[in-house]
Amino acid sequence: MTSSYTSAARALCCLALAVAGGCHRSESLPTGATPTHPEAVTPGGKSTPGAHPKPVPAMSEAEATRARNDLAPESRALLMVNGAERWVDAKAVESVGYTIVDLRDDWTPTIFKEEHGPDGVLLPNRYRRVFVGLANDQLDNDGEPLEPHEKNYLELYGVFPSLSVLRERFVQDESQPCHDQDSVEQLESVETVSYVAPQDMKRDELKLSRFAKELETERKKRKLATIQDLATVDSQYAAKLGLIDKRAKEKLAISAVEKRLACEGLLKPTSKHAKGVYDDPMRLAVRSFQQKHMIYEANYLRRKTVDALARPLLDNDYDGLVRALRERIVSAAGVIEDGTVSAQSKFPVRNLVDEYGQEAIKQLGLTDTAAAVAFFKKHPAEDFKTLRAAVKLPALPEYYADMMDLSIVVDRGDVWYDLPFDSNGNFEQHGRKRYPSLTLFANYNGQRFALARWRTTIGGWRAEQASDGYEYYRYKMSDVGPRVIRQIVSGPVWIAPTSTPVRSLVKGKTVNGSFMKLVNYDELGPGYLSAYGLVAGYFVTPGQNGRPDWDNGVRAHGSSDYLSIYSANGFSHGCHRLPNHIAIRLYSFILAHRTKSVAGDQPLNFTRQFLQKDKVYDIRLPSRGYAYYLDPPLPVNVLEGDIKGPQKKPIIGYIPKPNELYPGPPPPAPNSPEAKAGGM
Amino acid sequence: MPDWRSLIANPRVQVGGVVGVGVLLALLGWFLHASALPPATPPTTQAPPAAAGTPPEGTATAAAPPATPPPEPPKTTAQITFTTNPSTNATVSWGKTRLGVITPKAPLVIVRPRDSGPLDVVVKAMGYLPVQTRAHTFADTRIVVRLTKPDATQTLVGYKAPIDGGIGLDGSTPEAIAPPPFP
Repeated sequence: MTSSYTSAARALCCLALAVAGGCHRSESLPTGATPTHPEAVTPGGKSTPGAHPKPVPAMSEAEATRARNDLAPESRALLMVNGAERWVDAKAVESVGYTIVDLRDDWTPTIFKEEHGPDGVLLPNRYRRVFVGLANDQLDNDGEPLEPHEKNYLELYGVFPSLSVLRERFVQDESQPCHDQDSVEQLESVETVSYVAPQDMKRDELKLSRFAKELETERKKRKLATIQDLATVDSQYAAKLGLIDKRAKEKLAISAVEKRLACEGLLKPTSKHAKGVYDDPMRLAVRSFQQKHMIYEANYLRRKTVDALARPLLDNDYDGLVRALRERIVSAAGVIEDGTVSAQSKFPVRNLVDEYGQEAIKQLGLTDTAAAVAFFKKHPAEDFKTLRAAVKLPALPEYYADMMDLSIVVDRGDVWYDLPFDSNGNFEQHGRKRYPSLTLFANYNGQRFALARWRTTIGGWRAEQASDGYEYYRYKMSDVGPRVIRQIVSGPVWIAPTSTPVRSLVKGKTVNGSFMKLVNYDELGPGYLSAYGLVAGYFVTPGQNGRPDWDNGVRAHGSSDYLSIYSANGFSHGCHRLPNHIAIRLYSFILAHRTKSVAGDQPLNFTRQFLQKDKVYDIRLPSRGYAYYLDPPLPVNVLEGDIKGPQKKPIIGYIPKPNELYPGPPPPAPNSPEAKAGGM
Repeated sequence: MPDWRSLIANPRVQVGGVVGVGVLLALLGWFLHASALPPATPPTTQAPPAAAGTPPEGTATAAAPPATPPPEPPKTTAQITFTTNPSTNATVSWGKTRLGVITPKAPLVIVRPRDSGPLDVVVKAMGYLPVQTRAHTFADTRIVVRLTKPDATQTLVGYKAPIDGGIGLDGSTPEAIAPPPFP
């Protein structure tokens, strides 16, 4: 009776788990990775290639790589041997030094893998389902189903498309190239396309028409054969002729862009786009294109965007495949060195991200567009439920180990505490020559060297909502000095302080057929758009003499706001932002190479109401995210940077915005850690 | 992935269907649970405890470990219970669909597929401001929606004091405040 119960219950559990995504735990997941004690943790629960000590192979390479067509799809891996595909035993090849690259559609980076607690109980990650749904074009950021044929295009935000999604692109784009020589020439004739706001177009046309008349009159007056001759003999006319020519070329280029975006399905026929105008539908289509092709540019027709628009679809698809594979290879190999540290540095490190990425792609035979098309023709979407590949990567550098001596340094770069406007209330930007950076260091054999360095953000002057309901400026300080990261949270939630302007906490969305305003959980998280991005490390000052850590609300976290990271005028509220995919790599690497314990989902049950216009909004945050604890914590040092300008200390409190009406003097600014740094 | 939204077109059908599945699973779970127990366990009357260290005659000294109940099968649905504070009549709408009514005597109970994404709803009650709230489906949830009267908005974050609302903290009359002198 008991056994019948057990088997029936197991069947029932499997049924329920099948609904949730699968009945078995995959081999490549870090089974048993969660230790009963933090010190028992190993990186990813499996041996890292090149890590110490090297496991002694139990069999020869020839034996491990023999064909095993008898194995279940879950147990095998694809190995390319002399250009031919061979199924091999995944565990066997891994034991002889191969790296298993997960090509399955339910792949997630390490930080979203579901771990087990010390008692062996699965610790589910709430955001995993959404992440997988986003990568597979099945769910939106709220975790709700996408409309049919809707696409996510979220590479730019750290969610790379699954192999099935990429396969669909290759298959579709092969039959519908959306690429013609005329369009290419029109796009290649311009480097960028000037943005002319829709309301300024008429005026711009009139100006060009006036220039043309002026040039023609002058040509006749000087009895010259052509306007070009006029421009040659008198340089004052060259600029006007140049502008006329530029606009003519741009007009043709815009036409080519419209054609391409429409063919690619990004500029919908139902949109209210006016031909030849860079209006909102066009801007949104360009934004989708940039998201699809991971182009870090503002939503205009700038150089990288125009270049990508001129390329064949399949070539862009191939680049997308390489990027998606690279994240999986980096995750499988547990590396971080991406060439961002100067080769001229005292201790140059290899660019393992590129090196391993290229090597794995070469071994998989996916070296060009044609090979990728052939691969996807051979493997139907169904294959990507179970497909894993085996590659043999070059050995890791000797400084690699399961437990590495790592640390982070944030350099704040050039810092201005001065107000962002002059005494007359005119805004002015303070120039920076040195931008903030975040560097990951390793210590090995008494030498400290940088593994990777990325641009990041520091705090600056930001709008804040005071207790009187009005917005003021406040300087959001990035703390200076030694800190540690003890806690890493994947799918983190940002608890917006009460000083957050309510306009940023509301968004519009169609819910069950009706457009409505609702709480902007995109901003709060968990999610790729959240203030903390997809993963965050919490900077704290370690507590002394049994006291708890001091958390001043500063984190180094992922962010979808890449312009704030890469633009000259970008600032945070005090935190150090990284592009989501870089933050994922960073924290996956740290978790793989430091001792950790997995705390799992952190229930929160936070609620707060706020008012906007005549409606009340109820924020409900059930969880803080999925937490990992580092023991020992990771050392962090934030360097003060170079303080520029006459103001040498940050201004405390609220500063009224110029030319705004207020009901009275500014209320006192709240002093809680989350209000001070704003936590984002 | 099943398009569960189609189920909500008629909420009664959807709720009923999901409740039906839930009931079936619960019954199956109960059946399995019951069948795992010893087949004939007669009701017993509990004897007074024996003095410590002196087991009653005829009792085995090594008592059998208590039978641990078998684990319940994972739930496939999440039950969301809506109430208001203060307790009053209120409607709950999900987009175009009116999900039901909360009354002072009866909460509104909605059943959704578990972990099927959030439910963004608007709660409206006569004499109170509408409230937009969210129900999550990770687990059974009770949502108490706090209602605010239109004349009590100053209690809420985001309330904006009117410009002509009186006198500033320093006793000044309202006027545009110039930026402070350049530091």
